Amino acid sequence: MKRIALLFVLGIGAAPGQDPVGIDFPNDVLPHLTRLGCNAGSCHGSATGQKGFKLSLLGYDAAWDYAAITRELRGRRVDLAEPEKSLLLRKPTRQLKHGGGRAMAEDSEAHRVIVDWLRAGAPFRSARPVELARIVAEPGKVTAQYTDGSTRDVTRLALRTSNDDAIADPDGTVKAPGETSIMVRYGGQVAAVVAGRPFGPKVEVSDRRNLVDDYINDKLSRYGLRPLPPCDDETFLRRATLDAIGTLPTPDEILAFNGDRDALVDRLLDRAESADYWSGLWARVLRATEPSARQWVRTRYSRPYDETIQRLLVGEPYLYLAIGDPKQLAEFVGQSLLGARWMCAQCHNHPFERFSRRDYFGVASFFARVRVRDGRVELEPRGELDLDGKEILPPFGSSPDRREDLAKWVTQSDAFARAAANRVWAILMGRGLVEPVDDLRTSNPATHPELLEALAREFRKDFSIRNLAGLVMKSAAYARNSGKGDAFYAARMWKPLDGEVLTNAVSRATRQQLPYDRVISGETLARTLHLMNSPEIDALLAPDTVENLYLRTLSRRPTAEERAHWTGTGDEYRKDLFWALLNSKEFGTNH
Amino acid sequence: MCTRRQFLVGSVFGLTLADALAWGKASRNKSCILVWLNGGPSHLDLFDLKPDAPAEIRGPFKPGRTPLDGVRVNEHLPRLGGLLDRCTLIRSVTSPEGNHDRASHYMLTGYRPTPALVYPSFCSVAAKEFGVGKALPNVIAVPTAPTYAGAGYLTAAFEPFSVNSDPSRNFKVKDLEAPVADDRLDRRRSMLAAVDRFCRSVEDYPARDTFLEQAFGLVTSKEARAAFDLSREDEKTRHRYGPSRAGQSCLLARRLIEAGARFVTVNDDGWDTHQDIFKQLAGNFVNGKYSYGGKLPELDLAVSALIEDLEARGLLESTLVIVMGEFGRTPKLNAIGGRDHWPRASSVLLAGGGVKRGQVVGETDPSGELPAERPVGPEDVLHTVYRALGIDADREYRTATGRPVKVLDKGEVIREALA
Repeated sequence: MKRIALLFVLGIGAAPGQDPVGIDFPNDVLPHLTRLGCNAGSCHGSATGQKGFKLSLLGYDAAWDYAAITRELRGRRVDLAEPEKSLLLRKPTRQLKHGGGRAMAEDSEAHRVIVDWLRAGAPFRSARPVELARIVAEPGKVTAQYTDGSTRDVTRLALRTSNDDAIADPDGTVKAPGETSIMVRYGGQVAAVVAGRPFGPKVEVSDRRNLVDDYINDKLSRYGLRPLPPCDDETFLRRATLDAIGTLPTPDEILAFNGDRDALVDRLLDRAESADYWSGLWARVLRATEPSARQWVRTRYSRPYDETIQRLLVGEPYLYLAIGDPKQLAEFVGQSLLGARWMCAQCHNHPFERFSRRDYFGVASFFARVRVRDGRVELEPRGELDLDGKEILPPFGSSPDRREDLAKWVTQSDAFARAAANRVWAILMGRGLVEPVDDLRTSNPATHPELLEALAREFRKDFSIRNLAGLVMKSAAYARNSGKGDAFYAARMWKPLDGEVLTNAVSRATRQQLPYDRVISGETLARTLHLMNSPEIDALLAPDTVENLYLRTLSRRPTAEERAHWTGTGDEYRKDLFWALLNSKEFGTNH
Repeated sequence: MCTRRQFLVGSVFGLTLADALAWGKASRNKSCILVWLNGGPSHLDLFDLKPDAPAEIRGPFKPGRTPLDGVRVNEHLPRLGGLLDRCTLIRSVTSPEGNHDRASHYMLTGYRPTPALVYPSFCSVAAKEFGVGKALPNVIAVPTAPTYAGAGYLTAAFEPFSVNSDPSRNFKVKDLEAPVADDRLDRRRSMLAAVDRFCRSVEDYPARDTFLEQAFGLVTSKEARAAFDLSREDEKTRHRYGPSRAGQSCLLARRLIEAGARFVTVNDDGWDTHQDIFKQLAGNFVNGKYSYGGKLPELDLAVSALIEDLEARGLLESTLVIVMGEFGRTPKLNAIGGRDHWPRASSVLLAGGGVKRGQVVGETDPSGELPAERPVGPEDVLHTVYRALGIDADREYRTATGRPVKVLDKGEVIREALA
C-alpha cells in the first residue's frame, strides 16, 4: 500500500529527486543529513560544530550548510571526480575516524543520494529548481508540496520524532492505547500529526454541563473512555474554594452549602479574596515581583485583560524597570503573553517553529528606544538594534511610540487569547491543554485543539479571566471525582497544594493566620518536616470533636467508618488526630 | 550468627558481607563539600595577588608564603596558604557571565543559562547519582542553597535539604525534632496511616510517601539528629573553625559528612565587595593578629580547620573540598575602593577527594585580567569535579518534556588537577 502511494506520488509533477539530474541540495541531500542526526545539537549542529565542521541546527540554513560542505577545507569535503572518496561520505561511513561513529551505511539510500548528487556536480539547485511550499503530515506519511504545484512523498526523507515513544513510534505505528503527536521536519519546515488508538470501543458520554464538555466528551467517547462520576458536594466545595480563593471553606460554609454549584462558583469568584489570589497567580506570569507592581496587577484584575496588557506595554513602568533589555522584553512578550518560546531564535532559527532570528530581533526592535533613567521610563528619539551589522526595524507600524503598535498586535493576535486560556485551564485542571503552558506551537499541539480555540473565543468576548475561570469551573469535566489525571480528563487530576495555599489552609484549619514560611513552598523534605514538627503549628492544635476536626481540615464530615475508628478520648488523642489530619495526603492536596 | 543488618543486606540484595563492606567503602570515596563564596570573591585579593602591578590594581595586600615554591597567596590567608601542598589551585577560570544569577547558573550547572531550561546543579546531579539518603539527607545546604544550586529540571526529590539556620548564631535546624515524646510520635504516625488509609480521593502519592519516610527517619534517628548538633563539638574545635558563619558552617559540614551525608554546600555571604574591599576582606587584622571582622580571616580559619580535620580523621581522600564563587572581581579598583564583577578571570581551590596535592593550574596575565595560560571554563571545572566524585558527566538525563540532555555537554576534565 505504502509502495503504491509512493509510486503514485512520484508519477506526477516535476518534483525533485526523481533522477540524478534533478537532485538538489536543500530538497534531497540536506534532509538525509538531518534525518541521520548529522546537524543535531549534539553533533555538527551545535553552536561550535564538531572538529571544525559546523552545520546549521537541523538544517534551517541550507545555504550555510551548502557552503560548509562544498567550500570549506578548500573543498576537501567533496570530491567530484571520485564521489565515494569525499570526506562527506568517508567520515560517517567510518572509513576515516569519525567522532560520531558510524552514522551512515555504504549501501544506504542516503549514501546513494549523496553519490548521485556529487556525480551531478554537487549543485545547490537542480536543473529544475522548485521551492518547498509546505509539508503535510498524515499518520505514517509526509508529503511535500512545492510552489509549482507538484508534490512528493518525503516520508523517508523527513525527520520524525514521537512526543511519547510509549504510545507511538516516529513512523506512526501506534503501540499502546492513548494519544500523542509526532513532530515531522523536512526542508526547514515543521508539522505535527496526532497518532493514537482508543482504549476500547466507542462509548456514550452524556455528562454535559456546558460547551467545555462537548469537546471533552467527544474525545472520551472516541477513545472509549468512561469518565469518573461527578464528585460529591463537599468535595466540590473544597475544590472550588481552593481554586477560586486559595484557601479552604469554613465549617459554616460547608454546612450551609445547598448544592447549587454554579451559584457557588459565581459567589466565590466575586469575592475579593478571589481577585487577591488570581491576581497573585497572574503577577507571577507578568513578572510583577515588587509589591507596587503586584498591587498594580491586583487593581487591574477586574479590568479586561487585553487593556491591562496594552497598559503594561505602554505606560506602566514596572516591566521596564524589571527587564531592561529589548531582547529579554521580546522574550517576555513571546513566553508570557503569547505562549511562544522565542529565546532559541536569538542565536539560531527556532528548531521547532517558523520563527527566525530576524523575527526575534524584529520584536525586540519595538523596545529599541526604551530607556530607564532614574527609575523613569523614557523614549529616545532614535536608536536601532542591529543583527549581523544590519539595522533591524519593526516589521510593522508607524506610531511614534512603537510599543503601541506592538501592544495592539499582541492583544489582537489569536495566540494572545489562546495562551491566556491555556494558563487558566492549567491552573484549574492541573495541566495545560498544551504543555508546557508557555510553549504553544504547531509542533506541540493541544490535546484538545478545538476546545482551546473555543476557550480563546469565549475569552475574547470580554477578556475577563474571572469569567473564563467560571466557564471551566462550571463544566462537568471540572467536577469529576479525582484520580491521577489523564490527558483525556476522564478523572479530575489532584495536585499538591501550592505553598501559599497550604499556609492559608493550615491557617483556616487552626483558626490562626500563619505567616507564609518559605520552607513549605514546593514539595520538599523541609515542607514535610515543617508540617510534622513545627512547634508553632503544634501549639495551635486545639482539641475538637472528630466531626469538627474533619470539617476544619478535610472540609467534609467523617464517614461512618471513620467515626467508628476514632473512638479514643481525651485532649491528647484529639490533638493527635488533628495532627494526623493536617499531615494527611488528603489535606495536602487539592483533589 | 549475623547481625540483623548483615542479614538484611545479604538476603535482600543477594550480596555477601564482603560486597557490602566494599560498597560501603566505595561510597566513602564520593563525598563533597562545596564552600560557595556567594557574591564573587576577588581573585586578586585571595589566591592570585599581583604585587608587581600598579597600585590601583594590586591594592594594599601583601603576598604571603605557601609551602609551594614561588606560589603566594594573600598574607591574610596564612593557614589556608600553608595547606596549599594538599590542594590544587586553579588560577585561570574564565567565563563571560558577569551577572550574579547567570554566573551562578554557569558555575554550578556547567551550562550557560537559557530561559528555556534551568539545569540541575552539580549538587543535585550528585543527589541523583548517589541516591536519596536514609536517615540523613544525602545533599544538604548550609544555611540555604545558593541560587541555581537546586534540582533544575530534575524532580524535587533531588533538591538539597536546606538547614535554614546559621550555624554561628543560635543554630537550630527547623522542625528536626518532634514536638512530642517518642511513644506519642509513634501513635501519631499510626493515626496518620489510618487517615491516609481512609482517603479515597488521593490513592497513590509516592513522592510524598518518600518524604514522609525520610522525615520519620530523620526525626527518629538519634545519630542523624546528632550530626546537626554543633554543641557536641568541644570549644577548642569550634574555636579553631572561627566563630563566623563560614567557620561554623564548615564544622557542621564536617560533622554531616562524617555521619554519612554525601554532599554539603556551605553558602557563605558577603563576597560582593563593590566598596571598601580591603576593610571588608581584612577586617581589623593588625600585626598578624586575627580579629574576626574580615572575610579573609574567617575563610582562612574555616577552610584550613576543615581540611586539617578531614585529614586527621582519614576523610580527606574521600572528600572533595571545593572553594569557589560565581566570578572574580575587576582588577582595577573603582572610585569607592571596591572591585566590581569580573568573570573573565577567577580562581577555584580544590582539596582532597583524589585531587592532586600541591598543584597550581594556569595563571593570569600580569594585571589579573585574563588567563595567560591554560584557560578553563566552568564546564571544565565541573568535569573535573564529576570525575573526582566518580560521576559520569556524559550520562544523559531527560527533561520534563522528554528532551535528552547530558550532565555536561561541553568541556573536559582538567587532568593535571587530579592525582
